[in-house]
Amino acid sequence: MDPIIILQAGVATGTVLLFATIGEILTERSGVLNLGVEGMMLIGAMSAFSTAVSTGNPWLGLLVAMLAAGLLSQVHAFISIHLQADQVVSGLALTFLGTGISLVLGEGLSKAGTISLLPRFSIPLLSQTPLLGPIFFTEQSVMVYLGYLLTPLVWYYINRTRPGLHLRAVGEHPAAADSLGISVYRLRYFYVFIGGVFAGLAGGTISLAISPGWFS
Amino acid sequence: MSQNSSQPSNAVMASPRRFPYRIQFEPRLQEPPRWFPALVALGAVVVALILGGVILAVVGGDPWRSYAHIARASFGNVGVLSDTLVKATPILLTSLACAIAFRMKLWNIGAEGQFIMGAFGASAVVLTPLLPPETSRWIMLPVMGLTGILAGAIWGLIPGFLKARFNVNEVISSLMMNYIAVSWVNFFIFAVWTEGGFQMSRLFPRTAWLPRLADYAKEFPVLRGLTTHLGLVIGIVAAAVLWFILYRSRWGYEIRLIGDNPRAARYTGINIQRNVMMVMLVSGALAGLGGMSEVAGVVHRLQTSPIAAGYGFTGIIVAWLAKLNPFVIILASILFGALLLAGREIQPSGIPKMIQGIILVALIASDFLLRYRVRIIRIEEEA
Repeated sequence: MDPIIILQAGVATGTVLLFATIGEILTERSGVLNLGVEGMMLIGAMSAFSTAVSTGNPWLGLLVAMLAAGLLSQVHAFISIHLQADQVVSGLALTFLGTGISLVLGEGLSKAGTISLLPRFSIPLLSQTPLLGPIFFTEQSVMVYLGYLLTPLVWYYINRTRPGLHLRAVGEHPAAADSLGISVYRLRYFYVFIGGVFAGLAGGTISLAISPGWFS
Repeated sequence: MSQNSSQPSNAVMASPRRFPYRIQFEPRLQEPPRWFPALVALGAVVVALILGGVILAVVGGDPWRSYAHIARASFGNVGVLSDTLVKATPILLTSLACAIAFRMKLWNIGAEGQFIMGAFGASAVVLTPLLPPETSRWIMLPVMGLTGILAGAIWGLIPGFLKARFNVNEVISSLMMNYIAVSWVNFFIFAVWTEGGFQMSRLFPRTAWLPRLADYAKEFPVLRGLTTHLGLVIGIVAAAVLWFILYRSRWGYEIRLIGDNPRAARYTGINIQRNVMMVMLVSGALAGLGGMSEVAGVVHRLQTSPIAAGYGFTGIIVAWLAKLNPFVIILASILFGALLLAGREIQPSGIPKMIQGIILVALIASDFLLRYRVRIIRIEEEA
């Protein structure tokens, strides 16, 4: 097999992990460990495919995936932030819950029909670059390019902006953040939700762009 | 009381203004009575089953029929009850493995991998072959047990050593070791010990099978077809030994002290690094023993699909459900064995997994009730 094609596919598949990781970084920076990423991704993949099949619009599917996974993440947020239960066990519970729910709701979905995928295209000039062009910029899904954009943006957000500073403060020294008037609970809920949204985006990317379909 | 409620830290949740009652949570100052945690856990399971029923009803299933089906398919007659016990055996051993580690707040998520390596270690005796197939069962099985324990213990010791020596997060390292274990065994069954190109080893000789109830059907015809094997007895003995270690021995006291208050443990001179390694070693050994029991008692050949079926992960839930008490773990693993067994027949196939997830979520959430008491207060009374 042509190594270029393998690397090209690697970039596409890696995008899924990239989104999930970005979300988890934001969650963990706020001081919450969420081991339920897998469950949220599956919920995202299932709801993205299901929405795309019934509406015919993959973008809507992506949106629903992000919302569904974000909603599921709030279970973990409530248990670990308000009830102060152990984050490791709660996160694992979320994995089981997400896997189970997506299997139950996704039953029979694999035969439900076909979907139109998210668009793929090449970037005009960059795709001409020797070696890197065919791997990174030729006929990749729009989600891959979104990944390229989001990564530096999130870095900038965390390290160079005021809300990013709040995020790091809440994670590294919650008591100090609290005495400066930052609501620790509210920010943690928010970033667990954002982590879920990114996991949903990752799941949606699987079922709408990388390996289309839903297999239970 | 009104003074107390003015502190915002106590009032976790305030109800809307118009409503004449207000719910308030207060930290418990004294230990709740002994029966209370059991009641809360039972309540959590009931609530979880109701929630699962609601979800089933929403997606168009019939919750009553599903639950009745699960009950019938796992406890309906002696035959399926025996199958339930077979399913419960690996869960029992992996959740004991999780229990000893969790008691020290050491999050061994790698019981799955240690279980698989235990199965691998036991199989290596037959497949390498370390012992010829005609070896007596009385030598063969103990040797398989020992190699299984050894393989599982090594697999547990690696994250334990990394944690003790370099403070590597054991959640991540033990989780990753699971995937290595699956790939390791896959390599052997694909390449080295493959039978005719299939992804499985050859069948073990009868001397490497754990005795089953059905083997004695000649003397006792009642036992015909019952698949329950000696692994269940091994598991129950292991549970008793673990209980003794945890609650009646000095080492168990150290484990519990490190779990409850690591700083106090360090100041009393307990060697935490050594205990981390020891506990991971024993945890891996228990899971490895589970892998040996599964491969020698049920599968009778090395094959990843029925062995790497997530018993290590189910063990985490069961250990938590049983509040890490080895004797309660026996009952809880039978319950989950029933869920797994019924899962093979019930449609959609995700139902048991979903119910497991809901039960675990409800259990963790219910722990809150053990630490706080709920008061319902009339607002007029306060004014």
